[in-house]
Amino acid sequence: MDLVYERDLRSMKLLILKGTRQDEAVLSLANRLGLSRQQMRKILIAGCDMMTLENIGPRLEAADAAAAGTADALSIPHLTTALGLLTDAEGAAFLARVESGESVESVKKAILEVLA
Amino acid sequence: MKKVVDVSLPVGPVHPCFKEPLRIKCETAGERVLRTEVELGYVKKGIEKIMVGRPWQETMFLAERVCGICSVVHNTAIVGALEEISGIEVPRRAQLLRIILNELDRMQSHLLANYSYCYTIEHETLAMYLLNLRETAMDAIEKMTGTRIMSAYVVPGGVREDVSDAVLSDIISAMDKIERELNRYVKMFETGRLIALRSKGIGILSVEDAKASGVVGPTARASGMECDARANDPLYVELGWHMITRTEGDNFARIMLRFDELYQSASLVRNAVAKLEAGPIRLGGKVTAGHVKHTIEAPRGDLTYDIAVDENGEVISVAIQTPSVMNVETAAHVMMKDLASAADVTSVFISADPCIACAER
Repeated sequence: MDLVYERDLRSMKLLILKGTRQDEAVLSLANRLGLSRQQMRKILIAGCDMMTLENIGPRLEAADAAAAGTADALSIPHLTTALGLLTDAEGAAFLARVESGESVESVKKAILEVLA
Repeated sequence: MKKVVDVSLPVGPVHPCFKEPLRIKCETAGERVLRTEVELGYVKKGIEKIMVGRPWQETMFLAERVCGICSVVHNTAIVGALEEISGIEVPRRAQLLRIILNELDRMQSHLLANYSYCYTIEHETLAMYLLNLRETAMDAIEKMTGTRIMSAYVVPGGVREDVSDAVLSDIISAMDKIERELNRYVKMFETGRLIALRSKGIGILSVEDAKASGVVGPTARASGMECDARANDPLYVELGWHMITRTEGDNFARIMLRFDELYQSASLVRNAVAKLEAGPIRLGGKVTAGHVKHTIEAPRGDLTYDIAVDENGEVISVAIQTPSVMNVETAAHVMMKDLASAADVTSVFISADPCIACAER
């Protein structure tokens, strides 16, 4: 349903992501996932609301502290608990694929396809 | 087929319970709130960008204008960052005067937060009592600095003006009055049956969720998380500061924790006044080039100034991380998720003491 009072927030979301601390966080997540800064910004703008983008730094710091092993390699805590770009079920399914023998690289590729 | 989402319910940007504009879009199924989204941008000031290229003498005043409620703490934080960069010493009397002012600021901020909550749950009588009591703290700030807000009292190397014994005596009298009246209001809040219905078990934030979302200040401490930047300040510890936490993590705990901290702030002010000795209030120093991340405890939680200045004291870059950024985000995405009634959206939001001016710095 298109509501007449809905605004296009993309330009304002981009302004938030250009802030010093937000930009650092975006760059660190982009490096983790092997994406460019612009690709990462596009995914975040499409998938997160303005308040999550403002709080992206502390959320990713908390995810960094919580992540370990395969989940860390796939950035699952960053994409699920921290940013909500993937659901917990999707995150668990990707982890299960690695546990069943699939390579981390190919699962990472699959994650990026879902995000895109 | 049964619909999953019945109504997309907008709360705000202009709402009787919100002091400042912000829009919360709630997706509901019946009375239940499934998820929420927050829209900002109604009062964006762009202060971080305005600060770049300006000398510290100007940015000091700009920092205060981030927020009218806690302007004192923004002033203290940016000056503290400049002092850390330049290694400027602060005399003991000035340190104690800063603590007195910051605790008075915390008291008026907590009283305003609890007033807002009581107003939101329609207990206007207690709300007005608390707002009236806040004036006692505001009067003490005015006597000490000359203005109610934006006093620019804290300056690099100390404080702007000394405080006379008569004013200190008035501040102690104000603490007596606040503690005396607070006893009655806390009892009203604790024993109010309708207050309990709107507050206990509503908007629960678990300690795990609190850690994952980076929530800070009284909102985090009400969920049992031990985080307070004052723990790193030896002078606060010397004055008898200790961590106050609760474990329930609901609306009731957040408000009660602020009441508990009001008593502690009054005690800290008394102890600081008792330890004041004659001496200088400002030492010399020169702001030099450098980069620092300086964190202090604002009334709502950790306030961080990530600032770089050049050899002329001009700001190269600055990022202000205000506690409301973390707290508003957590309130909207964690506390309101799966809320049993859409009627509790405003009370849960206000219980986190949101400051939109800080979030939209």
